[in-house]
Amino acid sequence: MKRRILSAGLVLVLLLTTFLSGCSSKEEGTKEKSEDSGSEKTVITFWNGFTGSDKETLEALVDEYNQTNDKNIEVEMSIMPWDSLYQKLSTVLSVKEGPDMVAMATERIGTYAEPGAFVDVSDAYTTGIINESAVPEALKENLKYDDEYYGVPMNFATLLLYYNKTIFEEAGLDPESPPVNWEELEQDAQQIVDNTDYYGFDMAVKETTPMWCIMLWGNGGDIIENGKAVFNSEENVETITRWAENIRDKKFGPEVLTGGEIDKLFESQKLGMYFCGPWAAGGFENAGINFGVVQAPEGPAQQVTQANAVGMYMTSSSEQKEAVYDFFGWWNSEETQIKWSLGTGFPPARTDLEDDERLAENPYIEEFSKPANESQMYLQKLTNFSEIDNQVIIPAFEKILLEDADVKTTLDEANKQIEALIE
Amino acid sequence: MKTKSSLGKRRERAGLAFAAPSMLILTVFVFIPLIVAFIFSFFKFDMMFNNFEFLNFYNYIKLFRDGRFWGALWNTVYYTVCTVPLNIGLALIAAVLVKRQSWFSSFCKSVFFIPAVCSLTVISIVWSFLINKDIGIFSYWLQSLGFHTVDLLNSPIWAMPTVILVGLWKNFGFYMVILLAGLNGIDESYYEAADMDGASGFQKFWRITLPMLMPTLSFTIVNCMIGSFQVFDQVYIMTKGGPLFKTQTLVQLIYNTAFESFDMGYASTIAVALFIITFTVSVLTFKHLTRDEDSLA
Repeated sequence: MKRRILSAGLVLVLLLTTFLSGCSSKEEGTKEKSEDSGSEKTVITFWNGFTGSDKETLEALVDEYNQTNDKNIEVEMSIMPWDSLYQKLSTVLSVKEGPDMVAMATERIGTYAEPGAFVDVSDAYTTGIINESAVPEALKENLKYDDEYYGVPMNFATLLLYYNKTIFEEAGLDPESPPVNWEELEQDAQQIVDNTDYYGFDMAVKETTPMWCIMLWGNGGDIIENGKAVFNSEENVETITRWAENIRDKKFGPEVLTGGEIDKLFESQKLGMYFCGPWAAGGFENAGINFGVVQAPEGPAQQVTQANAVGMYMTSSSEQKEAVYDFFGWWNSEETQIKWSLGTGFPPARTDLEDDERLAENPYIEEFSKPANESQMYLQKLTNFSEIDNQVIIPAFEKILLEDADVKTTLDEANKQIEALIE
Repeated sequence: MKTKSSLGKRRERAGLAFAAPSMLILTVFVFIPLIVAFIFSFFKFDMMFNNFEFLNFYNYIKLFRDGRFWGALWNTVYYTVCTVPLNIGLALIAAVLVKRQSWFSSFCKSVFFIPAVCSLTVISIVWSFLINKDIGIFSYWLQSLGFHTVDLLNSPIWAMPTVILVGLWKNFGFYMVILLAGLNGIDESYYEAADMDGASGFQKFWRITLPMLMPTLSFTIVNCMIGSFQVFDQVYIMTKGGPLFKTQTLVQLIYNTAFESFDMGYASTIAVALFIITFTVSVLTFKHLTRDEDSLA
């Protein structure tokens, strides 16, 4: 009898220890003896969401760092979809079990910097690990929160207009003279819709790098300006009315698309023109599409495009500042940036490499680098970026495009909601 | 007498020992989180679990005034009310039809059951592609036959029915198998007796099959209902709750509140509300169904 109770108890203890050990496996920030040299090896963990075509280049570069750095540092990288990354982060950071480094879009800095999940890395700039003067203007301000740097550049990209030359020819357009302003863009799109079975031009609304903002800015509008919501400005009403009519009523393209859907549409050669970043060029080339990239068509007020950037951050879970800074510095070195650029088509995240001959190997880099200092970034410096974007702005576009809702009323309503959220 | 009671005690202990591992799992992964969520629902705190602020019933008052909560509740009820009868009805019909022993029935059984063992995520992605208006094969076929196609998942009207149908396609095979087991447990002699009395096929189904199947049926209905109230994956993959929140269910809302707005306190409040709703509806349904079972039997 006693033995039975004993064995039942043993089973319980065994189960309990399995659970507890499963819950508390600490993977990061460990120092282990290196087998060959006997010196201490520093392991730092790095989470990011580069699951696309840039994954290979990133992995190769991290491997190179692990093999060549002289401080015996090993970067252990986990690549996962961005969605899972945000979800996992929020559960591990609070219990100090997070990775040492994490990469994500700069618009999310505030969300993590404010509660202290990311730490101030200003000293990486003051000590010269990061060359501040080489960071693109549009990016510099957005790596800061409360006037302090919380991140260092990982990549920097601008959106250009991709256009399909085969579709242009079929529609009777000159494939070597893509549109340079809104009027031409409208004419060309209309001609594609009229003369072929394809869509002319479209902009994705959700789960995407923002595209509609290029139009808003082009006509002199914005969403939030100096901490105030200006989504319902006259310019915006005009812009959105014009382009909603183009897309919805003149059938330039499907009303509401996700980023993935619009990429697929262009890749399957059913869409003539759309805005996209450098990450897509390689894939389209491999798919054998005859396409070109050109600067975003000039709006009535200005020629502008959207820039977006991924920054690298150190989390409050990390106790390996020295190793993390070493990787920060290495990643932002000229040498690494050129390799990253050539491998992915992204322009380098530093402005002093524009004329470097080595970059000429990839024709897209130059084109994507051009607007580096004239571009704008979307909804930066907020602590609740994704809430504003997903709960207010995207639904407003859906309402207008899918339900033909009155533009002015919809934007007024959305503006009120944004005001409440940024208070 | 003495030996009997000690045997009883031993059995009791053995029973407890067997139940202990699952009780432990339930405690760690269900009961404790449930209690913690309930406590959290009275607080506001940040992502790092700092700056706890006791809000009293503020979150619950906010819940009652929150249009998004009522919208999500409506969507969840819409999903459940359509899913449960369709799922169980289809599963019951399929179970009765494939009950016979033939190679064709076995084939059908496997075919119906395959979606149930596939990952819901994979199924959702595949279906999203199949029905895509511009690049989907279904749309292509329909268009070549001259039909006008709709962008189902981006339509405020059609998105929810589409999600429901995909869920149905995935799940009814699972319920079919459970009902089949129930059907096979009904003794043939009842039917033989009914045959001798000259009962029709429908009478046999109504008077014998259904009452005898009631315990299994109650289980599947309650199970299906709980699953429907907690629907998340397929909505998350196929529509992310859109367009215009028309497919945003309660679990989706909890997810967004917790992992997008990082308002864990309010997310816990919605979770508690969902628990109360699911619990109440399940208990009422189960009671109602088992009462029917008693009166029918």
